[in-house]
Amino acid sequence: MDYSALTDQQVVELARAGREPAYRELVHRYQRPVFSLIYRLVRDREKAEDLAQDTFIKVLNAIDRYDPTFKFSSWIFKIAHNTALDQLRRKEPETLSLEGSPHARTDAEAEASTITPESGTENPEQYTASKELGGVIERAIERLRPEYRTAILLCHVEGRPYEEIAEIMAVPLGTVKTYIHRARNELKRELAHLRA
Amino acid sequence: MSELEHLSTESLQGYAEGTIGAADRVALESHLQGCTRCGGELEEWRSLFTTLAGLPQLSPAAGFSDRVMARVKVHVPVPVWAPWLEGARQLAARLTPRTAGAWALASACITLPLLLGGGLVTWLISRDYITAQSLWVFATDRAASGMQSLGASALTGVMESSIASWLVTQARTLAASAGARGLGAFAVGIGGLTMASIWILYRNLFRTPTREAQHVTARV
Repeated sequence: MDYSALTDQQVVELARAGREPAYRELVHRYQRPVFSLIYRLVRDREKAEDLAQDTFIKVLNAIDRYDPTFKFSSWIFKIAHNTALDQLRRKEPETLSLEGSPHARTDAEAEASTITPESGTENPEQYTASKELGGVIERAIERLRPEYRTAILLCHVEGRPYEEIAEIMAVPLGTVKTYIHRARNELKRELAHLRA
Repeated sequence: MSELEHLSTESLQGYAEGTIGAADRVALESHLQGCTRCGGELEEWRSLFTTLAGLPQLSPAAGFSDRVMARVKVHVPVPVWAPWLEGARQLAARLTPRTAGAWALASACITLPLLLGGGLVTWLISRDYITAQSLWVFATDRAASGMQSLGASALTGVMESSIASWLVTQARTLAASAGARGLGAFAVGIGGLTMASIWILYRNLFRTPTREAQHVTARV
């Protein structure tokens, strides 16, 4: 069966029926978005990997209790967000590591797990410029409050609508709009020197 | 809207991400045509949004999926009858003897009546005037008549009880005064009371133990 052609709801139904490949498909679909969100919240790669694992374990072990009237993406992002916030409440990490994963066993694995620009058509100058811009904006996002960070990442990186972000963060819609508006203003201020 | 009244950041952000209405859009575009300051700010917002949308997604280390699956318990659907089966298994476990003496007693309770009954049947069949067929006919006939008389006596007992006679009297009075509709309402009321009684009995006999009982259990 080609699981990749199925919707989230269909894959979840198969997982609830005890199909192990359906579990793997859900991990495959959401490992990057979930890991990226958690990583940008906790700013520690090793911790982010542990928290992303915890998120998937919580979600998949409770798959029989999932309410299909809600979007699966909302549910998993909500758990990821809460898991990361719990970690932030326990300890505020000190560093932002943009290097490869500590779990990488070879240089190739480390390279594969390092942040890279998505476009493959950039020339070396553009690549360097975009990498620099990427680093600047990553650091600017790092300085945002955690709730602003979640809101802005879900909105702009994951492309989630405001209503879904409100559901994920368990706050009113107006609060989400305020978070995003303030986060954008802060980021614009942070990036102003690049335009000067 | 004059050029001096510049557009709000909310309006410019909404325009850049395409979330404002058609009417507002027309007014905004009209203003943007003549206002370089707002046009410049709009470009800044667009640039920020493009940069954010282009942020790369990180991959966890290789083998992430395997590490997750190693700690996930794949859900096995439980059949509807599984709880009943489990209840029957627990009941059987409670009733199963645990000591040699208990086993001997249980065996005796089961085998003695069988031995006695078997011996009696064998003795009866060994008589010249009794056959196995006639004994079977006799036994089933007695069982059927016994069941009938038990049912009849139970019904008679109910009908002759003071509650039943009171109910019949009330029903007759109601039928005479209020007609069939009143009788129907009476029957519904009695039915409701019966159901409530059954429910109360069920709650008291089979449902969750009281708080005191739980407390005692927890302490034990």
